[in-house]
Amino acid sequence: MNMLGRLFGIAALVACSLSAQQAAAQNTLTIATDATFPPFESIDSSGKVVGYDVELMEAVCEAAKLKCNIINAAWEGMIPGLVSGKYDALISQLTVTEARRKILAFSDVYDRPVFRFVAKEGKDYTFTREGLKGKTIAVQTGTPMDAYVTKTFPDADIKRYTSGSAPYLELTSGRAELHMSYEAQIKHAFLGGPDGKGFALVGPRYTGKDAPEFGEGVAIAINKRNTALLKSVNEGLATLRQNGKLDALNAKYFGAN
Amino acid sequence: MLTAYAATVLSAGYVTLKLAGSALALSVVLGLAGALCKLSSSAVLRTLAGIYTSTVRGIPDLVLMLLMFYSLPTLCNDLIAAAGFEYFVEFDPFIAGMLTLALIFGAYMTETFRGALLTIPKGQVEAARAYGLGPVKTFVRIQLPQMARLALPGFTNNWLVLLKATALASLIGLQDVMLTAKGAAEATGQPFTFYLIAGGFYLALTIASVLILMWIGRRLDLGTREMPR
Repeated sequence: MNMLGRLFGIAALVACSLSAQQAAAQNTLTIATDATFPPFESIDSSGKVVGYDVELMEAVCEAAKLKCNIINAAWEGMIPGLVSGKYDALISQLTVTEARRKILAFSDVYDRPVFRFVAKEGKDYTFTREGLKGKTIAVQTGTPMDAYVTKTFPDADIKRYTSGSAPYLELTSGRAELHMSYEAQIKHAFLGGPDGKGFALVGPRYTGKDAPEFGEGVAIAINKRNTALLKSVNEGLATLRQNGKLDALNAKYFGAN
Repeated sequence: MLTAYAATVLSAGYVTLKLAGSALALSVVLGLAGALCKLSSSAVLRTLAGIYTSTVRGIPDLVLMLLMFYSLPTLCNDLIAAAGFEYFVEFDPFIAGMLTLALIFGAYMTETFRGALLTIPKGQVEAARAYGLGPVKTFVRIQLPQMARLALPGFTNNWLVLLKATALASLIGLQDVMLTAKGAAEATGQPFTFYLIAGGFYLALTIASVLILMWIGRRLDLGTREMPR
């Protein structure tokens, strides 16, 4: 039919003009972050990505003379996006682990986070397998905290949430007794606000030295094939270490520890 | 601060609307083409349209969205490289979201339009041809206006589902209402507030759509509505 041909023609034209727009500018790097984890990465009230990781990445790009565009992406799609070449790098408090090293390249570690438990003020817990038997622990799924708690406290009742904020709702509503996260995130997102009243950090300060689940630290992830970018990012990080900018950033966000 | 975040979430509604609108336009084109193929006398076209609708309707929307965003560009680039060209295809989240939704809802539109076209008595087409109208004129003047009226309830349904399905594009990183609401929820620690705002946004749009389409339906029915007894 004549008309069918015309319709197909129109459809083909539309499809072609759409893909022609996609010849993206290649000189600006696209860097993804999952902006749902304040104070490391979040959106401000105008929708812009802000936070420790964002400022660090901007400083690295400046030091390494790279043009960077930091965008907000969903956590689930970040690693596939990096592997398939959609993003040039990821900065999102990514913990360096052996499993991730197999598919991604990591820059030098830029921070060694401290992991803590948070619970009702004045409550005492023994952080052993028996001590936490039957206690309810809330964690964000897919995180080093999740991996650690799952392995170390198998007799506890572990509740997993996809977002960083949900465990705090569970704490305040009393449906979870303990929550484990980054110390800086607990302080910023919970203890500093009105909902955090009556709660406190409990137990030891865990770091990568305490368990392999906590990883070697956090780093910028880069596509394995892009060794040139890996080199410039590491040079940028080294510059920030030397000129004191990294220390200044740490002091700004985490105070004097 | 909360109101500033709320304003940001609602202003992302522009992206959601743009995605829904462009996907709808493409899906109507695809749906018309699909319906005509399904009703065509050519067995090849009928088979192709049949494969299209049954494949697309049989795969979850999210799977198609992820395939379109992550796998299709990679496949295209491999093919282009294998053919020896220097060209790089890349879909941004908006384009990938729009193409996926158009593909999915094109299949649903195909069925909606096909059903509507089948309801039109065959004698009308034969009469039009007997009067000397060509196939294009027969379609545009005789079938299309009646199809529009008959397909409206199904079309309304498809549009409502499409509008809500745009939220899937937040998973591939489109800064729509859903992703912005999630960002605001995590930044402020107030998920209920911002997911309620997002829910209210979609609800307001769907209610407005239903009202507008009901009005259009009444206009299209003018010639055929029975007088109240």
